[in-house]
Amino acid sequence: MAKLARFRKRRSTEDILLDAFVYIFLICLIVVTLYPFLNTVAVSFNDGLDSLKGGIYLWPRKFTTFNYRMLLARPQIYQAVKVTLARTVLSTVLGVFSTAILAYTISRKEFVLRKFISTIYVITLYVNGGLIPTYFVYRFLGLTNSFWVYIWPAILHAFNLIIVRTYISGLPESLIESAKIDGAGEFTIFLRIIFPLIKPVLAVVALFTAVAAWNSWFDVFVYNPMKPELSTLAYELQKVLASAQQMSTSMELAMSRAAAGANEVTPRAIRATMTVIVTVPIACIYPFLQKYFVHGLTLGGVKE
Amino acid sequence: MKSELSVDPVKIKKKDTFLAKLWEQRAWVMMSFPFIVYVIIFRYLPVGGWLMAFQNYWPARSFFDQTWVGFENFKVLFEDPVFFQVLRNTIAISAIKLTLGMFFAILLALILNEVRSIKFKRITQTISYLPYFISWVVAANLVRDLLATDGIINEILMFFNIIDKPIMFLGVPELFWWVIGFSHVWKQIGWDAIVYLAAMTSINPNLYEAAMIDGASRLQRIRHITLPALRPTLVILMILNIGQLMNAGFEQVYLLQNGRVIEYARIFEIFELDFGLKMMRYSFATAAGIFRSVVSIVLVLSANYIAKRLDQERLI
Amino acid sequence: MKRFKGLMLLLVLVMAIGSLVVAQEYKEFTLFSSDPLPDYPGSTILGDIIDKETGVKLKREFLVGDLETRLGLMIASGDYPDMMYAAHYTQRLVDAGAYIPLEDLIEEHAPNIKKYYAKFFDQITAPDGHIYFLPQQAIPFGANDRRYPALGFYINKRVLKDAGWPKVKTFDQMFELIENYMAKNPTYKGQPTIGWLTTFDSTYNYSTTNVPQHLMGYPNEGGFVAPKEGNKFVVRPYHTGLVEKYYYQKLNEMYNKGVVDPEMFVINYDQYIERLASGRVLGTFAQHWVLQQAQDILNRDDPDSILIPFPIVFDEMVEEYMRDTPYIQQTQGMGITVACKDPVGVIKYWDYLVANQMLIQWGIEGEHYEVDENGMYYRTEEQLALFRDPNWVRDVFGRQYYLNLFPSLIGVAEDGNSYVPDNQPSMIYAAATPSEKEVMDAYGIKSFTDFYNPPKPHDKVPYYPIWTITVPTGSPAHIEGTRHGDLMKEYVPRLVMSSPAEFEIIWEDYVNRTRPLLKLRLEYLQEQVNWRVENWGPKIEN
Repeated sequence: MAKLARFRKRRSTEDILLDAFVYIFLICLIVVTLYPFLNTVAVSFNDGLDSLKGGIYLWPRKFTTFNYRMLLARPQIYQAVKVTLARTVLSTVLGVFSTAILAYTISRKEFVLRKFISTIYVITLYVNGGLIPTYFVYRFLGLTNSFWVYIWPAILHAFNLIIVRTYISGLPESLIESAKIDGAGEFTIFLRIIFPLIKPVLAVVALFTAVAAWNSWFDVFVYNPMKPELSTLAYELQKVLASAQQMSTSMELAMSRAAAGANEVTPRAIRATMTVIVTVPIACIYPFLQKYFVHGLTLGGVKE
Repeated sequence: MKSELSVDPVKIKKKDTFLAKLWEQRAWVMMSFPFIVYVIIFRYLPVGGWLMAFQNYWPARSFFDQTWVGFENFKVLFEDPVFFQVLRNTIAISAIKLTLGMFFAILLALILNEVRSIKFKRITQTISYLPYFISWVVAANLVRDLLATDGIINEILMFFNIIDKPIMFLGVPELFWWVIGFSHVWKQIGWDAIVYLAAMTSINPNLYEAAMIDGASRLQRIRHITLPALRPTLVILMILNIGQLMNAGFEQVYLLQNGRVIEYARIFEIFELDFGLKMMRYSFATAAGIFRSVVSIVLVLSANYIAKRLDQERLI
Repeated sequence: MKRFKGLMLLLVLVMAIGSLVVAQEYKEFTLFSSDPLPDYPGSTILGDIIDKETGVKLKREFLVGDLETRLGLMIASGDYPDMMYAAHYTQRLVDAGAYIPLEDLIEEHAPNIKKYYAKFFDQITAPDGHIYFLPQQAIPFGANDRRYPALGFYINKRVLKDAGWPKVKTFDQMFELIENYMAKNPTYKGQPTIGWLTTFDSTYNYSTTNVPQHLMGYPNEGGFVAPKEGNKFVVRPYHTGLVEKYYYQKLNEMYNKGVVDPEMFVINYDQYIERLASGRVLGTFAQHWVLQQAQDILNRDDPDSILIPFPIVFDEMVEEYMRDTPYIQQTQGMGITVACKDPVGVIKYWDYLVANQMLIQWGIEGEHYEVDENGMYYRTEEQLALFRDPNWVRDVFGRQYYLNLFPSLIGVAEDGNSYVPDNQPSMIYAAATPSEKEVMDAYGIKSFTDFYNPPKPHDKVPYYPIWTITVPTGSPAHIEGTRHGDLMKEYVPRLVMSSPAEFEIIWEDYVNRTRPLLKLRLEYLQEQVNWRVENWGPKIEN
């Protein structure tokens, strides 16, 4: 009993200090990270030309939904969203699964090809053939002017591979041992034992892959520029941004505007609106993934 | 099926050959083989384009019609008067970003782990990575507003009488690297912490309970349970990031630089673009890229070796 | 009877099939333009008329990312559209062999193009004797007038009003005005007044570094000028010259007095516009398009602070001619690529467009403009209102989709009407905002360009402008140019922001390091200027 009492007392002083530190740190962090985002939202709902004067903080000064209409009320958007969703889901599913399998094999210390595979993948992080040679290879493979150029090249990323491998290496060997003794084959071990246990890190890979797919427009630009049916959301948004930038510095247009205050679309407003459009879906999906970041393994133990 | 752990002295010799091992591990080979082919085709085949660095590449002519100039492009690169300044800036900026970035990301992960209310933890985590999605073009403007002479930072500092005249933060050359470093932290901290948080989920909660019963304080629990569990991830990420020392962050530096700090802001990627692609000097751009890749690989392999020596987790 | 019926049936059948065949079938051409525009809306007022009359439908691609990448890929892969416009990369496309020669096509199939562009053929012919692209604007007759000149030293209206609408000529006079006003009005709407500010953001920093040539009275020639010495034009750098020294010294003095914005070299372009739009900047220099957004905001929200352009020089004796000599943009234009299967169709399409410029610019008579007793076009208030909305003009009317890409015309047509409606003489004053009108009335002018001298005519400066001479890509001269730009980025801030005592030392240093970086371009430009004078100029005797 005495031990418990002492134990409880020691908890309280240190606890309070630590808790205070934690909360102060996090509140500061929230302010510092939320403010820019709220500011961006405010700018997105503000009249474009008015935003150029600066001084917008948390609230729009001249409210308008024009920026959103400019970006979204376009017929091409529906097709683009469909394409984007398709590529996001497909890349993520294929990516997670492929990464997991490969990571499992190279986590096995006895695997003869372990070092070889790790090395060739890690090197890809620092080595790039260049845009034009890459373009030619993809063209040769028949990937240009096609939807599949969005999927195949993006399946495996060395970074994801490494973090999954690291995670698997951290799992107790005993699990695998006992499965082998029970007569399980490699693939079964992977599917039945490893896969369920590495859900947290796979959730991370899923997040990274999905976000990258959701945001990509450069590959559309390079490989499918003349195929409007393969456009993605990010690409459509980028188009509006590019033309807004053009309009804001066009000498020709300068003369024809007599400042009647007509709704003017400025690059600054467009960028802010794009950020919001792109981020909101991700912020909505993330809570679903968060539940995987839960303490503890189902080691036959209790989940928190 | 025989357990892999059984040791049969007679059979060991036979099983030692590479091919034999391959056969023995054929399940793993089959699982990984498609991905080996994949990476070779998609990532290594284009590297053939590196040959461009040894030519005087002109896009209109076919690959085989080009003039070969050997190491000429590399010579031009190394002899450029600003080469060393560019190298210095690039490495300094990356090193600062790496150190600050990792430190704060881990700190955040540790702190989030200590939060008791799940709801608060989730909300904070979601908010913390929002800046990641703001493009640098938007973010740079925000940073400029923040650091302006009439911006919030100066106002706060003057309010507390730490300074009596506003400081033009972006105009102080020596501060430039730190401005880049801290704005990077702000933007990346939430996102980078995700990997560490995921790693922390593999810690057995029983360990914590056992430690609590033994009377360990929270700080002690962090030091002796959480951190060691994070170590492999930490080391691996550090090695990977060391390889990125040659990439200082093109967009961020380009947008935050200005006339006063230009000597500290010339980095490799901008240099490569100005003198390479913008002039359609593909060969030069490729040579610069090769240089960067080679340095990165050397750095990674060295870091890996050091980790091995220190008995840490290895990347390769 | 039966036979007759049968014949009738046959006739009807034939007519039916015939009409199907004869019914409008459209040709399709593909187009790439480096000017980003939103996707073509599918139907616009102009587009519908043009499509119907030419029988051509266009499939358009506009630039979304960066031009280098897109063009690099196009050239490497050979995947070209039928016609293409690539801004400042046009020459590189010619070098890469992407375009086909046009002179024969024009000769045989494009009478209108021939008619309007004939005067400029020798300017757009490449050294190998072929014409590879058509610049977008040819100027048939008079010079193009506008409300605002292309560039100027802008002074805040409040300063001018306060001083009783003075005529400002020299740099010193301008700063005197500014300093006086600033002493009386150190703040504006709660924020400090900024006496002088130009942008130094990397993409626009020539707004700061180009100024010395204008103080010398020149229009925009780029990095070098070519005064006439004797009967030759000699290319000279103005960087490191005496006027430049005067310019930076003056800025240095003003900076140390607090007149120049202390953050001038730290802020970016967006922040520059912000400051202008706030109305507290008293003086700036820019090409008009650089600050027109700010001017729009000021006209709308703070009309008393709009910026008024003046042609300022460094000394009373200098005669300025800062207005652009009408020139044809002969380094950029639209061309037909080697991938086009029907070049004749394309050139005929262009020909139609050139012949119908009034339609594209003005619209349909009665709907978009009216004609007065003298045959001059004008717009009523409602029509003006329509055209003030840039989104309507682009998406409903369709103007941008037919202008600025294709060969088109500016200037004044044979009947005296201006091609560009806003430059119609009657409209320049009429369409000005009330605030602008107040200034123009005070000075007794009808357009801000009236402050300026008329530009030098073409035969006086046949090589004009130097900045359209592009140095060969990737050449040592090109590299020299980039290095020079880099050097200026470093030294200009130091020249302006140092203490007056240090100025001389920094200036010496700057001169010593800059001089070697001017040699190669000087040589190349002189060569080109000589060539231009010989081939484009009137034959000069003696």
